[in-house]
Amino acid sequence: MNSLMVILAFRNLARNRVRTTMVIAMIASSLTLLMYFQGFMDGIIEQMTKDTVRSETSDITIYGKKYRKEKDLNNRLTHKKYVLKKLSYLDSIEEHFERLEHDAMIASPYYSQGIKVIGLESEKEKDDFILSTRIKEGDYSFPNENAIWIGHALAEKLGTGIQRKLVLTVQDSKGEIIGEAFRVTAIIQTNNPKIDRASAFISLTKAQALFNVPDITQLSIKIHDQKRLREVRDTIQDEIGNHYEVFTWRQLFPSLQFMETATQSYIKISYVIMFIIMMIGFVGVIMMSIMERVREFGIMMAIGHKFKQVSLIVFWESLMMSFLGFLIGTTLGFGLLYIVNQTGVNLNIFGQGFEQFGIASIIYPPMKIAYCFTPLLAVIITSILSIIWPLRILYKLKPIQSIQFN
Amino acid sequence: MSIITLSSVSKIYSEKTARKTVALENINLEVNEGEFLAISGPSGSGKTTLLNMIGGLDSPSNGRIILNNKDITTLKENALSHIRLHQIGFIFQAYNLIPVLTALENMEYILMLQRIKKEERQARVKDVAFRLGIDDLLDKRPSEMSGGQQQRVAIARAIVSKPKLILADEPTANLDSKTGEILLDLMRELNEEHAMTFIFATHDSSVIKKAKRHVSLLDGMVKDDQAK
Ligand SMILES: Nc1ncnc2c1ncn2[C@@H]1O[C@H](COP(=O)(O)OP(=O)(O)OP(=O)(O)O)[C@@H](O)[C@H]1O
Ligand SMILES: [Mg+2]
Repeated sequence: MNSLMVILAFRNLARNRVRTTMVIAMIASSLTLLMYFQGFMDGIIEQMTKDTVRSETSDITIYGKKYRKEKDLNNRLTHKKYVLKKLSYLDSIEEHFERLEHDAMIASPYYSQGIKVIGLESEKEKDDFILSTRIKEGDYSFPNENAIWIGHALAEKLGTGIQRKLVLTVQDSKGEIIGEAFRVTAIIQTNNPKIDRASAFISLTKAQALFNVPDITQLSIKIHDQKRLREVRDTIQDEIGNHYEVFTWRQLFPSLQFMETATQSYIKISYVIMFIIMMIGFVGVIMMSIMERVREFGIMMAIGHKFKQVSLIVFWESLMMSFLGFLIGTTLGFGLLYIVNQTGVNLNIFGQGFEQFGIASIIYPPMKIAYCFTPLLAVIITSILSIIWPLRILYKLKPIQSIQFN
Repeated sequence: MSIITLSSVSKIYSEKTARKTVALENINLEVNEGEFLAISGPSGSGKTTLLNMIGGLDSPSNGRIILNNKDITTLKENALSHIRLHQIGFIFQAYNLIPVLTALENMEYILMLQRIKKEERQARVKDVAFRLGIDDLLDKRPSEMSGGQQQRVAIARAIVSKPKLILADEPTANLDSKTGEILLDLMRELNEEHAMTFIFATHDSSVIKKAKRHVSLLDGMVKDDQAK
């Protein structure tokens, strides 16, 4: 019985091809645009998250107790061996990375500025942190003790370049002021303003020597399963006790979390608005197609259809149009995302300066299957909601009584 | 045996703005199985209204209508559509057919609604199509047929489900008189062969001539009722 209704609905759609095509095109293009928009926004968030988080830490970060409040060497992470031993019992941990960070003054012959010096294990960090992929000039390596990498904005300010010399002036853990010359071996561009404008990187061992401490300030942890982020953090905190503070990356960068949530609501609102507009158009089309056929529906009811069955035909018509629109729209949407996922979207056409906000100039929108869930739900809801009112009107018109009076 | 009995049936249309229209007034009518009945009368005399009452397309303001020993005046819409589907065949003046279905599908459709099995459906459709000489129209859609051809298919659709009663509202009004007469002869043959009861409204005198009984209406009342 239902298949009969489906066939009828299909033929009715085919009867007015232009209108059907227009409706489907309207739905499809809206969905394509929304998917693109969603991918684009997600691309920005993902890029910002990656650039910000992965230039500074990994999934979970351990600090000495008061270090987050006061970034002083006295609050550094001590008894590293004890911590590592504890961590070695946890099989949820994949890798750990050590960093030592402290203030310094950097100077070229033309300019000087206060910065953060970060000592790191370059080989170990290579695959998990992003610095190795963000070398603008030079190489990702410390060929000797006095090699230094600096952010590209800082390099510009200092008027310096690869192989040029700079002087770092620091106060070590004993309070001594020490100055030492370094040679630039890499210039880094991460889109993380903190890194690009006010950071310099040297090897961990050199940093420990420079600041005269055997320890580190931050221990970053990479875990196996992102879904267990929170849980692993809690376990680590329990294991190593409260001489240390353990944070997930989400806790360390609350503004990213906020942006993600804000963007998601923004996308949701866009969907709702778009669907309200679409629904208005859709209701109009359904209404028109019903009004044209009042007599036809009347005949159908006269020969034995129940009103329910007539409604079912209208429902199938509506569902077929929106579902076809959904299929075409999401296919085009995924196609478009696939392309821009490869080529990237160049934001420079909107003007320069996005980097100030930590946004890269080229965005690579991701392609997530989940992008078609909301549209699917939306088209089903649309096709149900938008026939209710037209069908009510049809019902009131008593189609059966319109047969004899054309 | 009586197939339909109307006792004191009235229909009053009262619209919000206009005054009341008395479309039918105190109609008493009994039609027996196998009758071939013409209802005539001037325009506005209530022919269509009367057929609609009998077919359960509309309900009377007063009075009772008994169809096959069942009072249909009190039935709900779903029960009425069940009766229409199984017991009554309708032929309207024009545009009877579902435009997106072929002649064959239009006929088969009713049988599908009745949930009749495929083999039987096809056998019945073929049989009726042969009987009415519309074999060569079966693959055509209504828009590809002439008015006379469409009416033939409409008759075919009305009888394919073997209803006891067939109601036809000016079935020949849109046809030339020759085609109209052929169609009427056809209906008469069906009436005699299968004992199907036909009630049709018309103001065509050549159609009235072919009827076995003739009821004429005037201003919603039975003016004359005579068997021939
Ligand atoms: N739905 C309706 N609302 C209001 N008045 C109606 C309605 N249907 C019929 N009438 C009125 O009832 C009366 C009878 O109409 P009906 O259609 O039954 O006449 P008829 O004999 O079939 O006429 P015709 O030969 O023109 O088809 C007319 O006065 C008509 O205006
Ligand atoms: Mg009439």
